[in-house]
Amino acid sequence: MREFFALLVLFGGFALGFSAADRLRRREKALCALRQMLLEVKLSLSFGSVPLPVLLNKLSADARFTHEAFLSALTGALQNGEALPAAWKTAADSAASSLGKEGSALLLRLGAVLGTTDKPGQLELLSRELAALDGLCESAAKKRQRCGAMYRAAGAFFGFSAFLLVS
Amino acid sequence: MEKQGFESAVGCVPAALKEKLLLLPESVRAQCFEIRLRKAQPVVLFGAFGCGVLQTDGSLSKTAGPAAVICTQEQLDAAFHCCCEYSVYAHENDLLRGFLTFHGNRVGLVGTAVCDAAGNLTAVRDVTGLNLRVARDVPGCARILLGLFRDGAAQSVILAGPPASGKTTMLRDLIVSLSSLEQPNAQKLCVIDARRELLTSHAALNCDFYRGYPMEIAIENAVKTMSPQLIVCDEIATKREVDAICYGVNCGVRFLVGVHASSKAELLRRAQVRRLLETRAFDRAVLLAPSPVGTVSAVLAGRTLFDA
Repeated sequence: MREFFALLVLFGGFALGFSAADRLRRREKALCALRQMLLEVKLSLSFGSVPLPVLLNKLSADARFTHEAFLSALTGALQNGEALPAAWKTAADSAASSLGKEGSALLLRLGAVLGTTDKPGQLELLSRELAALDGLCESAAKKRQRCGAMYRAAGAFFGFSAFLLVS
Repeated sequence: MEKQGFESAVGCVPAALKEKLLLLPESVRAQCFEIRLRKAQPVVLFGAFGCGVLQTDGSLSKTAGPAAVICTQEQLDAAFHCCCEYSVYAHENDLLRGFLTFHGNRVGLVGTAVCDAAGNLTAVRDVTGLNLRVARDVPGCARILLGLFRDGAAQSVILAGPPASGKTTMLRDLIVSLSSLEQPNAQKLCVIDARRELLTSHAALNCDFYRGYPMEIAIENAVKTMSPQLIVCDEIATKREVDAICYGVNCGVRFLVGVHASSKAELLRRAQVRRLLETRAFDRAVLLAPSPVGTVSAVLAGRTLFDA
């Protein structure tokens, strides 16, 4: 029984450390996917005048974005008949866990202006938010590199220490 | 497939306001043809009943009292953005021409103009009023005119009427009847739907729609590439549009065009109509009465038109 409990503590420690590191990795991945999605929106706006709901539905069918939490929440809300501003807010709130507070705030800021101006205004807005998103992606990558290994090591260390103490 | 009628037209209005509009009695909704939303002003409806102010209990009043429903800036903005499909950039040209189209219903808008140094309109900002025009399908309303287009009874036809007399409704019904796949000897029909309001909810139509094109470009394209026998255009107004129609007529295409005119005298006074008549290809003009919608008051033919 004691051995079993010791093993449980060991694996618990490992899981804790690795899941903290994985959360950092997932945040970076989600921010990069969002950046890619906004780049696609910008590209579409540069060359055409596709309305946003159509464009977002098209992007949600794109294999690169099918696992993107924000986009799937957004298109889901749109399909339920919600107006775009309300759907955008719901999706930004629901994606806060994967994108982080700053990522969610960026989305809310973007949602308040996206689609409400002429084309040059929209392109400028997207450029500005993409630059901010670049910064977020960069800091998320740095944090993952800096803290990811540390969390894993801390998890392993905690697990081993607890294992030795218990056994 | 686009649903027509009052419910479709108020689809762009925010829920709180839509709720009040849908409280209106069925008879009022059926007769309503315009809903005016103005910034911080009562909601006004126009229809066969005249003019009425929407009240909070879902009734109409002749005057605006304390119970009148006021359209807030937020509600107006929400309705405007909904009409733009939340993509103002995609409707810039329509905004410059003063209208949007929501589910086949024309939405007129007013705001503040932004002009360049030469005085050309470049943008519209601060939209302060929307006019939601209720588009309706009235199946069979143009049956009386069908004979003009069969067996070569007429070459080209002008459909004239005052605003809200049902020109677009008649054109829509004529398009359905003339391009029905159930008819033998169907004509090759092109529809120039510049304001995107002629496309009906009928699925199987044997015709080609040019949606949102400037009319003159659409006519030229249609004549050059679609070999139409009949082209339908709604509400011609400018010289360039008339030039394009004359070009089409000279290529042997028949036309059905809508124009604003309240009477025979007004119709024949209009410079653009006179130019059309000079081609001698327009040998019929159908005049619609102001009400009820779609009532033909006169059909002018032959010398009545040419000698005018």
